[in-house]
Amino acid sequence: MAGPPPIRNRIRELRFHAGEMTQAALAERIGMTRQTIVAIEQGKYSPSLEAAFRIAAVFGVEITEVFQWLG
Amino acid sequence: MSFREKHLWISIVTTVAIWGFYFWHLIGAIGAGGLTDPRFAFLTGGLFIGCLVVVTVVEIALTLVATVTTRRSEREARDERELLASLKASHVSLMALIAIVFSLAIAAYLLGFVDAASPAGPNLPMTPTNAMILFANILTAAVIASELIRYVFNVALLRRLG
Repeated sequence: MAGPPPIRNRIRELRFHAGEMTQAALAERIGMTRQTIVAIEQGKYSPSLEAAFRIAAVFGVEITEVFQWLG
Repeated sequence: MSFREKHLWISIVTTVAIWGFYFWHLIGAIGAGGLTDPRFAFLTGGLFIGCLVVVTVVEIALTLVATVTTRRSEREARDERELLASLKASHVSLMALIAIVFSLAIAAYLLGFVDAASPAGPNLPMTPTNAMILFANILTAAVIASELIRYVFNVALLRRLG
Protein backbone atom coordinates (compact mmCIF):
# COMPACT_ATOMS: atom_id res chain seq x y z
CA MET A 1 0.00 0.00 0.00
CA ALA A 2 1.23 3.56 -0.78
CA GLY A 3 2.99 5.53 1.97
CA PRO A 4 1.77 8.79 3.48
CA PRO A 5 1.11 11.54 0.92
CA PRO A 6 3.96 14.07 0.39
CA ILE A 7 1.95 16.95 1.82
CA ARG A 8 2.87 19.00 4.87
CA ASN A 9 0.32 21.04 6.71
CA ARG A 10 0.26 23.74 9.35
CA ILE A 11 -3.15 22.98 10.76
CA ARG A 12 -1.93 22.43 14.30
CA GLU A 13 -0.06 25.74 14.26
CA LEU A 14 -3.01 27.58 12.73
CA ARG A 15 -5.36 26.09 15.32
CA PHE A 16 -3.11 27.35 18.08
CA HIS A 17 -3.07 30.84 16.66
CA ALA A 18 -6.85 30.76 16.21
CA GLY A 19 -7.47 30.96 19.91
CA GLU A 20 -6.22 27.44 20.55
CA MET A 21 -9.04 25.96 18.53
CA THR A 22 -9.54 22.29 19.32
CA GLN A 23 -9.52 19.55 16.71
CA ALA A 24 -13.15 18.88 17.54
CA ALA A 25 -14.07 22.51 16.95
CA LEU A 26 -12.31 22.55 13.61
CA ALA A 27 -13.98 19.28 12.65
CA GLU A 28 -17.38 20.69 13.49
CA ARG A 29 -16.69 23.83 11.44
CA ILE A 30 -15.90 21.84 8.30
CA GLY A 31 -18.44 19.05 8.82
CA MET A 32 -16.06 16.19 9.52
CA THR A 33 -15.09 14.01 12.44
CA ARG A 34 -12.34 14.85 14.90
CA GLN A 35 -10.58 11.62 13.90
CA THR A 36 -10.27 12.87 10.32
CA ILE A 37 -8.73 16.14 11.51
CA VAL A 38 -6.25 14.10 13.55
CA ALA A 39 -5.44 11.98 10.49
CA ILE A 40 -4.93 15.08 8.32
CA GLU A 41 -2.69 16.78 10.89
CA GLN A 42 -0.58 13.65 11.22
CA GLY A 43 -0.22 13.40 7.46
CA LYS A 44 -1.94 10.02 7.33
CA TYR A 45 -4.80 11.23 5.19
CA SER A 46 -5.00 13.73 2.33
CA PRO A 47 -8.23 15.74 2.44
CA SER A 48 -10.24 16.37 -0.68
CA LEU A 49 -9.86 19.72 -2.43
CA GLU A 50 -13.15 20.89 -0.97
CA ALA A 51 -12.14 19.90 2.54
CA ALA A 52 -8.77 21.62 2.13
CA PHE A 53 -10.49 24.84 1.01
CA ARG A 54 -12.91 24.61 3.93
CA ILE A 55 -10.04 24.27 6.37
CA ALA A 56 -8.25 27.25 4.86
CA ALA A 57 -11.48 29.28 5.01
CA VAL A 58 -11.87 28.54 8.72
CA PHE A 59 -8.46 30.12 9.37
CA GLY A 60 -9.01 32.90 6.84
CA VAL A 61 -5.87 32.08 4.87
CA GLU A 62 -5.01 30.82 1.41
CA ILE A 63 -4.94 27.07 0.92
CA THR A 64 -1.19 27.15 0.21
CA GLU A 65 -0.66 28.59 3.67
CA VAL A 66 -2.24 25.50 5.14
CA PHE A 67 -0.89 22.76 2.85
CA GLN A 68 2.50 22.48 1.14
CA TRP A 69 3.37 19.97 -1.54
CA LEU A 70 6.66 18.19 -0.82
CA GLY A 71 6.70 15.83 -3.78
CA MET B 1 -13.72 6.65 18.50
CA SER B 2 -16.09 8.08 15.90
CA PHE B 3 -19.76 7.15 15.76
CA ARG B 4 -19.12 5.22 12.58
CA GLU B 5 -16.42 3.12 14.19
CA LYS B 6 -18.55 2.51 17.28
CA HIS B 7 -21.34 1.24 15.03
CA LEU B 8 -18.92 -1.03 13.17
CA TRP B 9 -17.71 -2.56 16.42
CA ILE B 10 -21.30 -3.11 17.50
CA SER B 11 -21.95 -4.94 14.23
CA ILE B 12 -18.78 -7.03 14.59
CA VAL B 13 -19.53 -8.09 18.16
CA THR B 14 -23.20 -8.90 17.55
CA THR B 15 -22.46 -10.76 14.33
CA VAL B 16 -19.73 -12.90 15.85
CA ALA B 17 -21.62 -13.55 19.09
CA ILE B 18 -25.12 -14.21 17.84
CA TRP B 19 -24.53 -15.69 14.42
CA GLY B 20 -21.56 -17.60 15.80
CA PHE B 21 -23.93 -19.08 18.36
CA TYR B 22 -26.45 -19.94 15.64
CA PHE B 23 -24.01 -21.66 13.31
CA TRP B 24 -22.31 -23.43 16.22
CA HIS B 25 -25.65 -24.99 17.11
CA LEU B 26 -26.45 -25.72 13.47
CA ILE B 27 -23.17 -27.55 13.00
CA GLY B 28 -23.81 -29.45 16.21
CA ALA B 29 -27.27 -30.44 15.02
CA ILE B 30 -25.88 -31.61 11.68
CA GLY B 31 -23.17 -33.57 13.44
CA ALA B 32 -25.80 -35.29 15.54
CA GLY B 33 -27.54 -36.54 12.40
CA GLY B 34 -30.02 -33.72 12.14
CA LEU B 35 -30.09 -33.77 8.35
CA THR B 36 -32.15 -36.95 8.43
CA ASP B 37 -34.41 -35.60 11.17
CA PRO B 38 -37.82 -34.41 9.92
CA ARG B 39 -37.83 -31.75 12.66
CA PHE B 40 -34.56 -30.20 11.44
CA ALA B 41 -36.23 -27.47 9.41
CA PHE B 42 -38.52 -26.50 12.27
CA LEU B 43 -35.76 -26.46 14.89
CA THR B 44 -33.21 -24.54 12.81
CA GLY B 45 -35.87 -22.19 11.50
CA GLY B 46 -36.95 -21.32 15.00
CA LEU B 47 -33.38 -20.79 16.12
CA PHE B 48 -32.70 -18.61 13.06
CA ILE B 49 -35.69 -16.38 13.69
CA GLY B 50 -34.79 -16.14 17.36
CA CYS B 51 -31.24 -15.07 16.53
CA LEU B 52 -32.53 -12.59 13.96
CA VAL B 53 -34.71 -10.99 16.62
CA VAL B 54 -31.89 -10.92 19.16
CA VAL B 55 -29.45 -9.40 16.65
CA THR B 56 -31.97 -6.70 15.77
CA VAL B 57 -32.77 -5.85 19.39
CA VAL B 58 -29.15 -5.87 20.53
CA GLU B 59 -27.95 -3.76 17.59
CA ILE B 60 -30.71 -1.23 18.12
CA ALA B 61 -29.99 -1.03 21.85
CA LEU B 62 -26.23 -0.66 21.44
CA THR B 63 -26.65 1.83 18.61
CA LEU B 64 -28.86 3.93 20.86
CA VAL B 65 -26.12 3.88 23.49
CA ALA B 66 -23.57 4.90 20.86
CA THR B 67 -25.90 7.67 19.67
CA VAL B 68 -26.31 9.06 23.17
CA THR B 69 -22.58 8.99 23.82
CA THR B 70 -21.65 10.77 20.58
CA ARG B 71 -22.09 14.47 19.90
CA ARG B 72 -24.74 15.26 17.32
CA SER B 73 -22.35 17.17 15.07
CA GLU B 74 -20.04 14.19 14.90
CA ARG B 75 -22.91 11.77 14.26
CA GLU B 76 -24.20 13.88 11.40
CA ALA B 77 -20.80 14.62 9.87
CA ARG B 78 -20.55 13.36 6.30
CA ASP B 79 -16.92 12.49 6.68
CA GLU B 80 -15.05 11.81 3.43
CA ARG B 81 -12.42 9.62 5.12
CA GLU B 82 -15.11 7.38 6.57
CA LEU B 83 -16.89 7.27 3.21
CA LEU B 84 -13.67 6.26 1.48
CA ALA B 85 -13.03 3.50 4.02
CA SER B 86 -16.62 2.30 3.68
CA LEU B 87 -16.42 2.15 -0.11
CA LYS B 88 -13.11 0.27 -0.08
CA ALA B 89 -14.41 -2.18 2.54
CA SER B 90 -17.59 -2.77 0.51
CA HIS B 91 -15.50 -3.57 -2.55
CA VAL B 92 -13.40 -6.10 -0.64
CA SER B 93 -16.53 -7.60 0.90
CA LEU B 94 -18.15 -8.00 -2.52
CA MET B 95 -15.07 -9.72 -3.91
CA ALA B 96 -15.04 -12.03 -0.89
CA LEU B 97 -18.74 -12.84 -1.35
CA ILE B 98 -18.20 -13.66 -5.02
CA ALA B 99 -15.28 -15.93 -4.15
CA ILE B 100 -17.24 -17.69 -1.40
CA VAL B 101 -20.36 -18.23 -3.52
CA PHE B 102 -18.34 -19.42 -6.50
CA SER B 103 -16.42 -21.84 -4.29
CA LEU B 104 -19.67 -23.14 -2.81
CA ALA B 105 -21.12 -23.60 -6.29
CA ILE B 106 -18.11 -25.65 -7.34
CA ALA B 107 -18.26 -27.71 -4.15
CA ALA B 108 -22.00 -28.33 -4.57
CA TYR B 109 -21.56 -29.36 -8.17
CA LEU B 110 -18.72 -31.75 -7.36
CA LEU B 111 -20.66 -33.22 -4.45
CA GLY B 112 -23.71 -33.73 -6.59
CA PHE B 113 -21.67 -35.19 -9.41
CA VAL B 114 -19.83 -37.63 -7.15
CA ASP B 115 -23.06 -38.63 -5.44
CA ALA B 116 -24.89 -39.14 -8.72
CA ALA B 117 -21.98 -41.11 -10.21
CA SER B 118 -21.78 -43.38 -7.17
CA PRO B 119 -22.29 -47.08 -8.07
CA ALA B 120 -24.88 -47.34 -5.29
CA GLY B 121 -26.75 -44.38 -6.69
CA PRO B 122 -27.42 -40.97 -5.09
CA ASN B 123 -27.22 -41.33 -1.34
CA LEU B 124 -26.60 -38.02 0.39
CA PRO B 125 -27.26 -38.44 4.14
CA MET B 126 -30.11 -35.96 4.23
CA THR B 127 -33.74 -35.59 3.30
CA PRO B 128 -34.52 -33.39 0.26
CA THR B 129 -36.17 -30.86 2.55
CA ASN B 130 -33.19 -30.67 4.85
CA ALA B 131 -30.89 -30.39 1.85
CA MET B 132 -32.71 -27.18 0.94
CA ILE B 133 -32.49 -25.95 4.54
CA LEU B 134 -28.78 -26.70 4.56
CA PHE B 135 -28.34 -24.89 1.25
CA ALA B 136 -30.17 -21.85 2.60
CA ASN B 137 -27.97 -21.81 5.69
CA ILE B 138 -24.80 -22.10 3.66
CA LEU B 139 -25.82 -19.11 1.55
CA THR B 140 -26.75 -17.18 4.69
CA ALA B 141 -23.37 -18.00 6.18
CA ALA B 142 -21.69 -16.70 3.02
CA VAL B 143 -23.52 -13.37 3.29
CA ILE B 144 -22.77 -13.06 7.00
CA ALA B 145 -19.11 -13.86 6.40
CA SER B 146 -18.84 -11.20 3.70
CA GLU B 147 -20.54 -8.66 5.95
CA LEU B 148 -18.14 -9.49 8.76
CA ILE B 149 -15.24 -8.99 6.36
CA ARG B 150 -16.72 -5.60 5.43
CA TYR B 151 -17.01 -4.49 9.06
CA VAL B 152 -13.50 -5.64 9.99
CA PHE B 153 -11.90 -4.18 6.87
CA ASN B 154 -13.73 -0.92 7.42
CA VAL B 155 -12.41 -0.65 10.98
CA ALA B 156 -8.90 -1.53 9.83
CA LEU B 157 -9.01 1.15 7.13
CA LEU B 158 -10.29 3.77 9.56
CA ARG B 159 -7.42 2.93 11.89
CA ARG B 160 -4.88 2.89 9.05
CA LEU B 161 -6.12 6.15 7.55
CA GLY B 162 -6.13 7.79 10.94
